[in-house]
Amino acid sequence: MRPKYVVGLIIIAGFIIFAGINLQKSFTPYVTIAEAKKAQGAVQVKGTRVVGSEAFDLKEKVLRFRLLDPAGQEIEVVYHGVKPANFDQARDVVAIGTYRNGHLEAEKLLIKCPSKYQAEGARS
Amino acid sequence: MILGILFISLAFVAAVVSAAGFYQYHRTGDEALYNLARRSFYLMGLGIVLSMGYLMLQIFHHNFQVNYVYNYSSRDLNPFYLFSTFWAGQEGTFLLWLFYGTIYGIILMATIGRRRPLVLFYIMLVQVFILLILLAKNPFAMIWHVFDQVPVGFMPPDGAGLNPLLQNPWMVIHPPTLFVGYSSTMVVFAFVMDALARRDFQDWVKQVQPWAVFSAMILGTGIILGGYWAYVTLGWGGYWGWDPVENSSLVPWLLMVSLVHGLMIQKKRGSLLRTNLMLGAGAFLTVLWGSFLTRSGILADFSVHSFAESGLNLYLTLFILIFASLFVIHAFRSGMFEQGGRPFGEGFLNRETGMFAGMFALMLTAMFVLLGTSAPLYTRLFGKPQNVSTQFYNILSIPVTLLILIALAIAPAVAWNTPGLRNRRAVMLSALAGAVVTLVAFFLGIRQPVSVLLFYLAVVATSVNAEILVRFMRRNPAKAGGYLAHVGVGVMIIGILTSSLYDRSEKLTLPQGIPQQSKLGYRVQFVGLVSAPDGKDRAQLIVEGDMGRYEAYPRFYYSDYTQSYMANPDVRMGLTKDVYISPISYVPANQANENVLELKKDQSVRNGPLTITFQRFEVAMGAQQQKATAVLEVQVHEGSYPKTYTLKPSIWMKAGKLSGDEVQVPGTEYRMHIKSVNASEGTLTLAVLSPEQGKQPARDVLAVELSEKPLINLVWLGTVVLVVGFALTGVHRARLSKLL
Repeated sequence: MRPKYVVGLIIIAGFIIFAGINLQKSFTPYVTIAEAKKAQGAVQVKGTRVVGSEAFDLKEKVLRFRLLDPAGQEIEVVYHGVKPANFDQARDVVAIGTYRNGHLEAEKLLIKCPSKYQAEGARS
Repeated sequence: MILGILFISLAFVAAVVSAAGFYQYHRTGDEALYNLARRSFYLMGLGIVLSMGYLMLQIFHHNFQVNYVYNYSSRDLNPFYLFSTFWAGQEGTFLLWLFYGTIYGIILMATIGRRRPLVLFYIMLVQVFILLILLAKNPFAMIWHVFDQVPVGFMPPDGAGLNPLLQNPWMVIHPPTLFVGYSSTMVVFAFVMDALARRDFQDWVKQVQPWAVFSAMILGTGIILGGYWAYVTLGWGGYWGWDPVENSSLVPWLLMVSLVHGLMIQKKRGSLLRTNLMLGAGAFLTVLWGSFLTRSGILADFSVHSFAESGLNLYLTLFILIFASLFVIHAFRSGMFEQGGRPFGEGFLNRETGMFAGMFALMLTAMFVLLGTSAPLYTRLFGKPQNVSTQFYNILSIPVTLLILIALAIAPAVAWNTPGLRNRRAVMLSALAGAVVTLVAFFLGIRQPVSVLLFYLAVVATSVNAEILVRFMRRNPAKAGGYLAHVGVGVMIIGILTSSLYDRSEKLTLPQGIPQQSKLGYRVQFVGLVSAPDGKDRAQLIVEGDMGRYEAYPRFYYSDYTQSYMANPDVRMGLTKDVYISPISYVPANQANENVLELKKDQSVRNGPLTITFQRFEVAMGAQQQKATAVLEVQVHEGSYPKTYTLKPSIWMKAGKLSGDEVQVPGTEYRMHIKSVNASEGTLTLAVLSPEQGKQPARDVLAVELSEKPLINLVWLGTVVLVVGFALTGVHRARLSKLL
């Protein structure tokens, strides 16, 4: 075989292994709250924000709130960062992070807002 | 809107006749059939243009009975944004695609129509399919067709409005540009299919080259416009977030850029015959794949973009399956897999190997982006759907960028076929220049080994291509486009490195009127909210720093459309860096100093060092006054072990006036009072003041994120240069293939 092909194959193989390892590492499964409490790595959880459960410490910039999923499970979410702007209007929140010490340490929050369009319920 | 549906139906029928006509002309060569196909084509074009005009008319006449008009526009939009509501929904973007397809068809008929009727046949096939989708999900549906509860004939007084995020000048041009790009991949695909059908794998190269360059240029422009829009509008501080929507436009672009290079190699050397055919088909198929991913609702929970399920899954799936199988079947039948291209020249140091290394890196990038974006789909097969974090994309871009930069630095400087450096001087000088610039950058703060390496290679690649560019500009400016594009890529990568790796940001809490010193060396004062006539209130800030003293006006307003607060950043563009200020939250004075807790009976809530448990209400009803007292158990976690107290704040109504008392937690300076009680649900709303909060006078508080983006200008400069380079090459290629 010509050396060029060997180098090409090595690059492909190396890249595939590198990609595979990183793919494994960066998977964040989409789980229910019950599963999130048992999970080891990063997960993402969707739930309804429990209105009134949030406490935001403006000085420390820590947001704590609880999420409720359709199965009736609740989880406490701790987010180190400033409260997202549209948080108070949000109904559903997706929290991405790791479960430890009895709460979900969120790295990222996706705020799902009720929009007029969806609220009216299209029949399509 | 029976007339609109009529126009679309007319276009559909005409498109079917035209497609059949081009196909039969290909088989029989009967001139009458070609004329039939051509006339039907123009009829289709007429139908499309009429339906577009008709929809536009409905939009400008505020005919909110039409569901599309109701959903995306409203009376308060200015004509500029009203115009852009045309492509705010899927149906409008389909119409755009059809319109562009018509223009491509006209150009193709004027150039190669009679010689290559199959190219037109495949374009018509795609058009037929999109028209079919439009018949199923038609833009002229009335609101009572869509919403059950709306009575027939009802005219809403106003529309739902356009998402405020889309009310931005960049959003007016971004989608139509991107769709020029998306639809242009269809032309390249049609050329591939024609080459396969005729089993002529060399001849198509020259014809398709200008189209491939055009497609790469315009897709790139569309992507960049989207990135710039995100940067100046969304406020998270970046221009690229590896979001599924962005990714699904990136993959076809990467494949198209690979194809542009592959075609050059094939033309010069006769190599890469199969690779090019697959790249051309791949670009189109990934456009379809992307539209399926982002429109099917599969990604709904994985992205900040809203992906409403469109009810078109069946059509979109069929669309992909049909065109993918058409390609695969024809590829096998054409015998392309038995026919290899000519091998490359010996060794590594020749043009074709270097160019292929670059193509290869682009293809690897396309592959991993596709892999990551499709994760929610294929992980479903093994259990829970999973997403990949952006970290995946960031890490994988490092090796491919390395390979791209090496190829960029070497390939232009070596000759075709024969090994050896052709521009030894350029490479040596660039290597030296790169070392000097990198050394300077090292002292300015670029220290991470990987970034130093990437930075060095980017400077070298830019310099090598700039050197060759200058020489071509003197001798043969028509051929200089490619090198110019490479300079753009080099500059862009330098900008990406400095602005993202050395981006510094901090979160500031700004009480109104009190200047705050930031860690990054800025003095920021929140002056107040300034209301705007269009309802988009702005926060006025005075910023002092090394960019001088200036007033920043990030927008922060409540949108009825999204029912949430919208924030647009303030971007102060400087020569060496941008200062980017994005509002995060705003707390009015009457709430700023207290933490508000809502408690149910027997519920415990932690606040600072306190755990507060709401035990019960004590209600006293008198003739003169009604008084509610909450019995709270408060645990103080300070010192070695917690102390527990029982506190009884009250709230009472006396002579129609509501008042309450404040209680202090013993041993601390925490104070609390009842804000309200809900007797029917037995809940209590309690306000807790921490010691620091208690001391401050009440002020409005704005929280912002301030960040510095060093040399982000280079990203924009690089992309503009890249696009101009593509444009020059495109003109050159179009001349060569006698398109111009």
